[in-house]
This record gives sequence, C-alpha cells and structure tokens, in this order.
Amino acid sequence: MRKHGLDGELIDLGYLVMRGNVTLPLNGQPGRITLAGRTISVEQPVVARLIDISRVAPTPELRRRAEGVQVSLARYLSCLPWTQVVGGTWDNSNFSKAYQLSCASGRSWAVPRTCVTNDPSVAKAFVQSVPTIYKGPSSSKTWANVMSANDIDRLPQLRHSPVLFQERITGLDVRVHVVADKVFAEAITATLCDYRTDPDARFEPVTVPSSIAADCIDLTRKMKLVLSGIDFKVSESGQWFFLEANSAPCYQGYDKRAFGAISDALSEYLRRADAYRPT
Amino acid sequence: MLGLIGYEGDSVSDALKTYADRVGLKAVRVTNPAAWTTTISVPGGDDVAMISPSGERLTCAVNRGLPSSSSLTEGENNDVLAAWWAGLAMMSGPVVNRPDATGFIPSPIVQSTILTTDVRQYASSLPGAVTANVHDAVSGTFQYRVGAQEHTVFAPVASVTRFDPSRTWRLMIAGHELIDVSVPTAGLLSGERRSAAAALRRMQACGLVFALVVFSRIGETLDIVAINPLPTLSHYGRQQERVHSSLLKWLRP
Repeated sequence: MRKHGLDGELIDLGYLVMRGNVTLPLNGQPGRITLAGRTISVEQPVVARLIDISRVAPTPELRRRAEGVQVSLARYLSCLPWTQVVGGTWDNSNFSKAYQLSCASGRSWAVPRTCVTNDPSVAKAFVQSVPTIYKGPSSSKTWANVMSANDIDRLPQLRHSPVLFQERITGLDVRVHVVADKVFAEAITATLCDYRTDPDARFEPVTVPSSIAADCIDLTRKMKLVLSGIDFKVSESGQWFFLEANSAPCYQGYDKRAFGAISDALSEYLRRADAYRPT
Repeated sequence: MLGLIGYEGDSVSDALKTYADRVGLKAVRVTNPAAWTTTISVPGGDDVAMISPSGERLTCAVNRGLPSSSSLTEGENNDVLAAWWAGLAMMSGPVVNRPDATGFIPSPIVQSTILTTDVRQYASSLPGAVTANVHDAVSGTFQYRVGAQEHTVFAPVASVTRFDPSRTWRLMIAGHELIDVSVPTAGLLSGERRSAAAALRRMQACGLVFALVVFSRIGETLDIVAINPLPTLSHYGRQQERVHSSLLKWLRP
C-alpha cells in the first residue's frame, strides 16, 4: 500500500490484546483504539485479517481478552458498509461447506454432487455411484483424499462424526481471486488429489469465461466481500465446477506469481473505496 | 417431528417440550446431536435427512444452540456443527433461528450498543438520568447495571447499552404475534408503540420469530436496546402460555 502512496495505521492484533483498548460503536460511527499512548480513530476503509489468536494466548486472562477483542472487532466491522472493509466478517458460510455449496448453486458453474453424512449405508451408496473424494465438512483444515477400497471398509466409523463425500472431478484446479469487479485466475496442475500437498504442482495464469467471471464477482458481492478466493475444478470437457469460496484467502503466493496484480488491484480499490458502488 | 435443539438444562427447550406434549405435537429434545444420523445432499433439491436415534425424522426445529459432545474432538464437534448448520439452513420445514451465512444462530446487531475494554471510562461519560447495562461481549452474560451496583466487571470486553429504565418497553416476538412482557409497562407514547411494532413486524418478515426485543426512549429517540434470539423463561414467564402457544402455532401451520 505504501508503494501505491496509501497511508494508514497498522495495528497488530496481539499487541492490541496485550497492551491496547478498544471502544467500538455498532451504529456505523468510527471506533477508537488506544495503543502505546495514542488514540487511533478507526476510519474507513479498513483492511482486516482477524485470525483467532486466543488459542496461543499465554494465559487464560489473555485468552479471554483475545476472544473478546476479536469478537468485538468482527461485530464492529460487520456494521460498517461492506464496501469499506477488506477482510469483511459478515459471511461465515464457508464454515459449513455443504451450506455454502447450496448457496453457490444455480449459477453459470456446476456444483459437484456432494453428500455430508454419518450414515455408512448412505455413504457407501454414494461412493459406489461416482468416483469420490472425501474431506471434512467444516472449515477445520482437512486434506481432500481420493476414496479407496480401504476407505470403504472404514465407513462404519462414520457414526462418530460426518464426512463430506464429493463426486471427483478430474481436471485442472483453478483459483480465482476477486477484488471488487476484477478477477485474477490461476490454473494449477498437480498429480496429488489436494494440490496444496503437492510440492510439484505447477501454476499458470488462465482466462476465466466471462459468465464464470461475472458470477464470481456477483457471488463475492452477495457475500459482502471486497476480496474473495474461489476454488474451482475444470473438467476435461471444459465444465467449471464450484468447490469453495474463501472470505479470507491467503493470496500471497498467487499475488507473487502474478507480479503483484492482486495487491495492485486492492490498493487501487482502497484509493477509490469511498466512490465504489457495486452495479 | 419438531426438534427442540439446546443444551441439557435449557429451561425454554424443556418448557416447549412439555407444552408440545400437552397439545399433542410430536417433539423431541436434541441434546446429543452427535448421536443423530444426518445426511445433506447438494445439489438438486437440497436433500436433508436428520434422523433421531429412535429413527424419527426432523421436519421442523427450534434452534437454541447445538450441544457439543465431550467424547468428540474439537474438529469432530466442528464437523457435527457444520452438518447441522447445513441441515437446518436447508430444511424445508419451519426453523426458529434458522442458520444463515452470518452464523449458526443469526444475531441481529443492536446499533445502540458500544463494545469496549474500558467500561469505567465510558460509564463515567453517561448523563445522570441515563443508566446502562453491561454484558460480556462474548457470552452475552449480564455483568452489572451502571449506577445500581459496584463497578465489578469481569468481562475483558464488555457490551454496554444505554437505556432509561422508566421509559422501556419489552416485547416478545413469538411466531406471528407480538406480546408485551414489559414489567412495568410505562412511559411510552402510543405513537412510539406503533413505530416499535412496525420495526418488529419488519424483523418478523426477515425471519426473527422468537426473540425478546427491548425498546427505550433516551431523550427524543426511541431506540432498540436489546434483541435476544435466545430468551429465557425469566424474560416472558408471565406470558409463557401465550408465547409458547403462538410459537408452536407458527411451527405447525
């Protein structure tokens, strides 16, 4: 942002929890942060990356304080106009992958057949009907795995907690980042099921069909986000399948390979955020 | 079958079960969701099946929070929650506190609230006639009332809401009805009651069908000072029969 001539206050969440104070009205008025003897007015636009740091707090008191500060900041940010917050906190739909898939249906992309269940017989019928991958149904980090014969034998263990089973789409992985009305896409070629675990994955820019790009922008707006990271699978026949929309994407690697294009777009957006009106 | 989802000891869920039994509406308490069989299918009709351990299917629900299981890990409990989030959000039957993109229990924002780590300083700025309730910003647990008690704040971050106790009106949204539970009912003008009722009708239209809403006049303005989608029996006990009747009527059209 400094490279683009944008000025602002950088507030470290951990330091704020340990040393600072917040006063945050929920009526859209600017909040106040007091830190290191200074009072900072929380002016719009705001760039936020609220990570749950309470888990690594060194004491129970700091853990409670971290929880409180994070919950309060999230609630405060959700009261601001969403166009003025990068890293918005209104949408939590990606906590439940099946729910988010349902919300994303009915657009220019397809949605893979998906079943979240803890019923071994239902799961068995599903995995026997289509090539299948499986992963956790919540946003708790899990890797996607291809269903194997060994896994079918383990299905009775499902009773203890549900798993997400999904039609396996063979083809390219594509990550699309949306910044307001701009779209940046990269295709990933990998041999492993989950490209994030593949050290030999190859990345290259890819053009997104106009209808897909328009729906990515529209979905991002519906989620009240300025920035999103949307994952797709593109089948060998060229059909686009929506997998997931991330409201707090880790875009650094993609940005680096795009020579800073995503950061440039974000900076440009922040420069004109006051004037942005979604069409 | 109606599912009354809430922790063991949730007196509202228990009271609703008792009432449902009395009026012949089939209902079950859901205190151990991990023991249920859940299947959610996407896309194509968005199939949802939530089956009790005794084999009965949920067709409608009152969602007062999903109990976690001590025999599961945090990740497994998250997976159960994610499944129930999708199941209740996509259920075709009526759901009180239907999950949406904002949360498992959507919580309307009360704009007159301030969130602060420095309650003392904020409280000292209040004009004399006005007081404020202080709650824990995370749990919502009541901490104290400014002016009525000592400053004993245990919550590291507090939710502070100004109000005038002599000009306050408490209302229950219950299904299609709005039920006055003010104790006492005093001070509000009839015009204000009409505008408050209009605000509540808008909330009902947006899906809020079981909540305590508190209005207070501070100066010239009538503000909403609390919206509680998880009311307790103490909030509406005197009107319990009417509230439960109206709510179950909404659940069983």
